[in-house]
Amino acid sequence: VTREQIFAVVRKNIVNIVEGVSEDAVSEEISMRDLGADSLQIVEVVSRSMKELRLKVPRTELSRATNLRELLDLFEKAAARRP
Amino acid sequence: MNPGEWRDAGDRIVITGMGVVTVIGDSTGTFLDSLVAGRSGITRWKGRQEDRHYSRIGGDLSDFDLHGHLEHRGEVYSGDLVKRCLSLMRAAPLPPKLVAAAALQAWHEADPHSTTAPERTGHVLAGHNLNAGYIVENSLTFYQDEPDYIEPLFGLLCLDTDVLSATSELLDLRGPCFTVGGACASGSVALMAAIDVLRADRADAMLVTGAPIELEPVALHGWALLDAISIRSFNDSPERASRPFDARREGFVPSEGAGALVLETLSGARRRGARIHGELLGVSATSDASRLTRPDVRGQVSAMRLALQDARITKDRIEYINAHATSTALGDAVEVAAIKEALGDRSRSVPVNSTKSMIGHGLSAASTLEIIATLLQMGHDVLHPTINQEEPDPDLDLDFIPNRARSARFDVALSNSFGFGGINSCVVLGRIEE
Repeated sequence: VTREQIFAVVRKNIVNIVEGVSEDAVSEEISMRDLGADSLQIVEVVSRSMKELRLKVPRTELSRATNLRELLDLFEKAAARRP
Repeated sequence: MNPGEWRDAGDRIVITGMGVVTVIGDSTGTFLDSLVAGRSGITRWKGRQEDRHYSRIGGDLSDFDLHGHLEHRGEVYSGDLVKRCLSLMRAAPLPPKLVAAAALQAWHEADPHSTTAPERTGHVLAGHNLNAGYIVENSLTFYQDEPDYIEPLFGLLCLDTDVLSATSELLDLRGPCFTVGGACASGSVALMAAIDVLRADRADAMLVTGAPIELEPVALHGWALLDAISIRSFNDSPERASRPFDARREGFVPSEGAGALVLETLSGARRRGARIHGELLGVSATSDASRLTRPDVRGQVSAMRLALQDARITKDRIEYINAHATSTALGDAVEVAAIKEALGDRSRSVPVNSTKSMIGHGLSAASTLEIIATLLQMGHDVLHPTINQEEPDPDLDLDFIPNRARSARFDVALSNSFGFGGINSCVVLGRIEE
């Protein structure tokens, strides 16, 4: 799976879950907080994206991500680790 | 004297809003029409796997379309309210959706926030084990797939309080909000709790919701193993399965649905000019001190008498009984014996019907739905039938209003609810002359 594909899944879930966010507003440089997501919505975006991509990143690592770029980095590494 | 008049108007509790989602109607109007027409909502299960459990029939709302329901009422609800509701319920299981839909109807009708601050409004949710199907599904994901792939908000939604809180958020209820559990008597026990909150002046208006247990295969199978539900004779004619009092009754028919009531004091309701559906004259709760599913005449008689005492009326004032009447062999017989003992000779002249004959057994939502059915009948001077009365049971000889509705004016009614675990609760309802 490419980084672009990972980003597309995460962006789709953000748009579906966080009200009032358009696709254009989602970039790697911003955080979900910046887009107005609350704590539950962030959990939902991350979990749904991982499940959809069949990835697994330990929660302890996920909490370190401060913006979408860092989240995508973690997802990309997890995808590379996959058998 | 009107039966409630001995109480101060500030202690008299009235109902000013009602809402329902049932298998025979998703508004009070359609619900009443179906009840009077004697329409059954019992079908084969629509989406539930059938190969691993005995149950084939019930009241199935798994295809309930919240969006369609709210859109249908689009002229009544504001666009913003519909949007917030759909957003809150986006990934929700069935119970919170049904509760929200019923609660919106009741709250919108009563409209307490037109005069009352959110901090003075609260919510008692009746029920427990609500998102059972969701919990089973996520347990399978956890054990058979990957623990991290369970639903993201499982930690919230595995708790019944999430069903309460989603609707409290939707309606901005900021006073006392909590859940009350009493198996199939949950709704009546919840009413008692809400009455106490209002009489203690901890709130000005209380929403009481009767929440459904999402029917899933494991619980259905468990009830089949207890020989509690209908699994034998009516799988090919499900509309005939719920037949309380009839000689061929063979078990309750589980069903999904939700009801909602708005309660406030009579003085508050009159000050606001609210439409009043009826008064909660008395309520009671007793226990059989037994975990068995076997009902007990003593506990039921005691519950009926205590409700009358709470209302300070004699049994002769009761003009109609909405029975618990689940269509089990023993349960219906015990309830008839209890009614005869509690009301004496009066029982011969009081009509008794079973709402469950049409909607099945709504479990933790049942008593809320039946209190609403009672108030709707009172408000429209009609008594709905008990359907599927084909072969009378010679031992059960009260007036069950068999198969056809009848016109009747009544001012005082009793609603019975008797749950697993020997939990008994009765409610006396009265007409309020405007």
